[in-house]
Amino acid sequence: MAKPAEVTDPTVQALLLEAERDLDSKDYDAAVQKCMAAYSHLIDTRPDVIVPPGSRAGAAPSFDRVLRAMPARPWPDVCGVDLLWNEGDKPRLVAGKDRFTLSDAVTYLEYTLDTAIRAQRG
Amino acid sequence: MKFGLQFQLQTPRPYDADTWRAEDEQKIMNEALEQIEFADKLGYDYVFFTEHHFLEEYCHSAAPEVVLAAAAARTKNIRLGHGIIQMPPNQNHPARVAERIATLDLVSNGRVEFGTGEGATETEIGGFLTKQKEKKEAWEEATRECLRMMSCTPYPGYEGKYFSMPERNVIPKPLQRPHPPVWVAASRRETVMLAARMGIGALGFGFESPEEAEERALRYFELIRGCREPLGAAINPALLTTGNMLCAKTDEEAVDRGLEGAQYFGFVFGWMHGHLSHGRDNIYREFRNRADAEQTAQGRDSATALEPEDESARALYRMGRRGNFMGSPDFIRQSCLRYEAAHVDALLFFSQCGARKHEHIMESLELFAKEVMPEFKERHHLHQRWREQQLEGVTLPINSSI
Repeated sequence: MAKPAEVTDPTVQALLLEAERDLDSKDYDAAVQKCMAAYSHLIDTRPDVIVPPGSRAGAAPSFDRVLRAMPARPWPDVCGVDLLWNEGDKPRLVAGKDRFTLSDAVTYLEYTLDTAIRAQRG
Repeated sequence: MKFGLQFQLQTPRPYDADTWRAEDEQKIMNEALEQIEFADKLGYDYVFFTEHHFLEEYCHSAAPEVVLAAAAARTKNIRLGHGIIQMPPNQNHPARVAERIATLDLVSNGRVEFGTGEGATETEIGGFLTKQKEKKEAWEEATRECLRMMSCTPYPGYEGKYFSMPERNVIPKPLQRPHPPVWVAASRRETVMLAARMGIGALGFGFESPEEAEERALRYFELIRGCREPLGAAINPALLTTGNMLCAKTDEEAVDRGLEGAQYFGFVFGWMHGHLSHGRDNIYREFRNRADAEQTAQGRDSATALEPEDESARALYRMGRRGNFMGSPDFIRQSCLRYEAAHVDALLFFSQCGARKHEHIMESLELFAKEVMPEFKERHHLHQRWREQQLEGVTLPINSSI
């Protein structure tokens, strides 16, 4: 059962625990900032688990899609923060708005948590 | 564990013509209604209808409230689900959704499940000028307000980012108070957890494996126990997962009858994310033309150590691992057992897909209901006990049909 307390990277764990507290106090902007910081840390330390934008499951017609394992999804770009990844550059997160909602904050918290857990499981 | 059907009303174009014959879409709808009527008699718990727009062949269920109303008139017990309604106001004004949900709930004697979502591809939501980057926020705002419209007398009005409305009493009110069970379409893990934090059910369209499903279920219930900001006036702690289902007397017969439909489902889903030539693509013909070549290439894949050598058996094995339910009653029973052990509340089956034959679907529904479903229904009280333990200490009002 993945939860922030199970993340072994101390930086990511601390940021995600803070983000959870921000969520509980309804400070969604702060929660998103913590998630962005945690994910940026993963970009630095575990670039192998960062999924490039546009790698959408089922994004092309495929005869055997129903037989394949669902691949890891890219950073959710529908909640106000984009993952910019130009060739040759390090990927970076850029916020496209100032005010975030509960669904934005939860989406980024859970996605970052999932990525961190995937990283430590190898 | 409970069971249901999920419909998209897939309507492949004829292989040998550029567009549908006048009766093709009507045939699919009539067959779906027969399947639902039969499923109700057989004891299936749910039928859910998707809402999609402009996604030719993939989904012709664009006005699910109409088909669900027809289903309500032909059935007695089966619960009638929107899986889902697109909530961004450009697609559906929240007040119109509240009115339609309440009306369906009244005419069906309180059998509605209110599934919500955003809409998917650019083809679809772009048709309504909804922006991809705003659709989630629009969903949250519209769904919260729509639920208030059902439960507040009068609805006090709202000034929002995506819609505004003056004070009105939105009528009729649903039979289920304060509102029917609420769900969100969740094809990604983080949306399942969002559902938990908002106190709503997760319609898992991710085709997750049993292992993934169990991890999600445990985290989901942990989060729902801590839900502080429910989206509606009652919570619906529930997890559904979906799979493609075709049951036949033998595994071989099931593959023969069902595999092509499941493969077409994946193929046309992928096609929807590309550049469509509106009104001019024949996706089914393309699928059939590519199938032979790709099947040959796939045949060259070597099986992993755990997989059966035989190609047909390997396809079944892989589908079972990916949340698909295609095979003999014994094979499907084994798949269902794994989801039951993962604490999934209900399985929803896509049975109508591609060019699958109506009579094969009807046989499949009956065989599954007679040979697989009863033991799971008998054990459902054990699952309900597990749920009660998970929900111990929850003080928010609960409205759930599980």
